[in-house]
Amino acid sequence: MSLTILNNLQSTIFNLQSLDWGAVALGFFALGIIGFGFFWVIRVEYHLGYLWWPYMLGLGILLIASSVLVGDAGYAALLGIAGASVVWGATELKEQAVRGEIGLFPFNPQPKPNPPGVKWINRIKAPHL
Amino acid sequence: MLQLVGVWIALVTFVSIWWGHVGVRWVEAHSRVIWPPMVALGLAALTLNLYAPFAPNLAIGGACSVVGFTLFWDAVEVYRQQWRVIHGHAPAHPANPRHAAYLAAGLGRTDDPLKREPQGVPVDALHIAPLCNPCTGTPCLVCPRRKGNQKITRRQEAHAAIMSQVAQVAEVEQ
Repeated sequence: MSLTILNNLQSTIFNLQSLDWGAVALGFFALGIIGFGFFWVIRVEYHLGYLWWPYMLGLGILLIASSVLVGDAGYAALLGIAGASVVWGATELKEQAVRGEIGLFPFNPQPKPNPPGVKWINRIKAPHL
Repeated sequence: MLQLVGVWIALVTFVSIWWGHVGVRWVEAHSRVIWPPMVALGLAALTLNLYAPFAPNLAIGGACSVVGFTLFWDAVEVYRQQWRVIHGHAPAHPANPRHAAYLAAGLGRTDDPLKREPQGVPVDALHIAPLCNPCTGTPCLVCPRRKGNQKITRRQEAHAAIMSQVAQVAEVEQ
């Protein structure tokens, strides 16, 4: 009786081991990186301002593009998730600036550093989805 | 050979986060009661994550799990969006009876306070919103001004007060 239970347990554990838990790990990583996205968007907007959005967008695209060159599918997926989160964060910077201005988040009264090429950046409407 | 799994998962992640922001607002604005969509989103999240380990490859399994976890987050956000509407931090949808009750109780607003271009200076846009309780000293889940552990008790008190106010208006209307 106890041997049967032990065998069943062993077979269950073997079956669980044979499953692809990497997929679920990717989901957990996505959850964490999206949560981190909330944090860095607030910080970047507070200290640098929303005009840095093209650089964040570029960083995100770079991360996604670099995933193409990574041989391992798991690591490529991690880079892809991180890149997508950074791209989304770039589109959130403008709305975060508004949130700060209307009082939903602390407003930084200190002057913020202009990003390189600010003249060009000002000519483009910041993306917001 | 190029590894395209990263690009695929990136696309899935971006669309999931997009849905999480845009879709949640729509679902909350068009639901008379918020718990059915919350349960539906939670069940969908669970189903996708249960399937993910059995998927034939990482591209499909990873996509299922990423969408599953973002759907779980969305379920929580539907609840939080309700309070954003009540506090006037997000626009109310007057055609929704629940939102109409908020508005009738003097809570919320129909215009979107976030629909503006950044000015670089503080703007008193929220003061236009009537009875923005958290901003006048009652901290809550959606208000960044909450402080310390007291926030939980005070939040529950604030929620209870607001809900009783809304219920009173709904009773009068019936």
